[in-house]
Amino acid sequence: MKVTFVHNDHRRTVDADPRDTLRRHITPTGDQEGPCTSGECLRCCVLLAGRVVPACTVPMFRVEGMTIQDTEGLAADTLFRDIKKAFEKIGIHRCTEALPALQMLAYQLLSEVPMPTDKELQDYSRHITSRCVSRNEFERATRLAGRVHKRRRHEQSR
Amino acid sequence: MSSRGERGRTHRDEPVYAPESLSEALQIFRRRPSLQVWAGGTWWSRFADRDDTEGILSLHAVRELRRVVKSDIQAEVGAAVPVERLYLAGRRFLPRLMTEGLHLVGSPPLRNIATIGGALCIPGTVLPITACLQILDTRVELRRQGNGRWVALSQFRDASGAVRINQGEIMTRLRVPLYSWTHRMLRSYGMPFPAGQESLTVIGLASLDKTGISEFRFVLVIDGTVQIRIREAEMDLVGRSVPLTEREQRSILNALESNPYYGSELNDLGRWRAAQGLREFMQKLG
Repeated sequence: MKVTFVHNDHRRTVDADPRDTLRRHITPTGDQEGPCTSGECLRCCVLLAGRVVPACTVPMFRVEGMTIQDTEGLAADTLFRDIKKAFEKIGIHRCTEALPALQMLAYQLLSEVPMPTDKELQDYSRHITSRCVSRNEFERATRLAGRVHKRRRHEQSR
Repeated sequence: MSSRGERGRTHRDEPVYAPESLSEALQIFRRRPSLQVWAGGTWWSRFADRDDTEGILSLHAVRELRRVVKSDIQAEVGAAVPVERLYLAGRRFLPRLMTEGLHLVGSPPLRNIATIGGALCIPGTVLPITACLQILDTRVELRRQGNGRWVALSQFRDASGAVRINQGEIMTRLRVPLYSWTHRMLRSYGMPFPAGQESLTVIGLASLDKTGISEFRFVLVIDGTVQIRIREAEMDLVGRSVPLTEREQRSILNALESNPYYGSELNDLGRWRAAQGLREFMQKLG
């Protein structure tokens, strides 16, 4: 079947088996090929119609007419830029394998809750499977990104 | 495990039906009962490798299945409501035990795509949310073209764990009673999904009134596959005054320990956690 979708602002039409996963058909620019291919490692997370989902669990027939963004597509987003900066400051940017997943997790959390509580942060950090980033580092970086973004929005509104 | 696309399957153009209304979906399913029903697809896309179907019936666009309706006594939840959306929309009015159970369905990105109906229908797997909804007396509606029936969630699976859905039926709604429970407990050790990994979920729910305990329920979910409930002991507790005596607590613990699955499916640490959870829950009542 022909499936048309918008990937990082580029309209694409692919010929796909409807049961193929989205992971197989998007060019891995920002996202990483995960080792699990079952949505647990979260490395292939993309933004599908505004929600973060693992691309390896999304069948192709579901993405017809939808907008998909990966970390590269989100580069211009101010919240995402703040997350990147905060991750660099904490030192998570060195882990290139798990970085897109962690940034996407932080993006979803901060999109919903600009200043997350410890419990909300822990709800997200307990799904981190990467061994080179601790949960504590992720929580610190996300908290910092939330603060920086709040300050930026406050300055913009003045 | 590799994904379907990476297994090198031959490319095929099977039909995908994405109806926008429930009547249309039921009509299609009656004509083609071998279609594979697809809601969120998080389980199917990973573990199911069925080539015997003549196509896919995707329920993601059916409006009736994506609604949540609340009344004073119950909430009716469409079976294709994504778990995360249900959590965000329902955390103000759904029972706390249910929202806590929704949080254990998977990681936030998975919850964005997984649906509540799909979470209840995973073959051979009992997620914590299934046990939570069971002890909350949830009923599910199974519809086929022309008729429908409501089934208690506790009757929804047979002894082997297989779901009891007849051919041509689709799970459409869940009816969750909004009783006000006074005490609850949900503890999860390990990741309950995917099933088969070492995990334990301890769930307790109770209600007290002037005379003592009016309702008491306790469930263990072991490794996402086995569920233990001690109904006789629960019934014995109803009407007892709180705090429970040491002897009453001991009799409940004995009932739990005499369950055959308790000894065979749990290791020492699991047994300690389960017994400790039950003991703490009983002490919390008093």
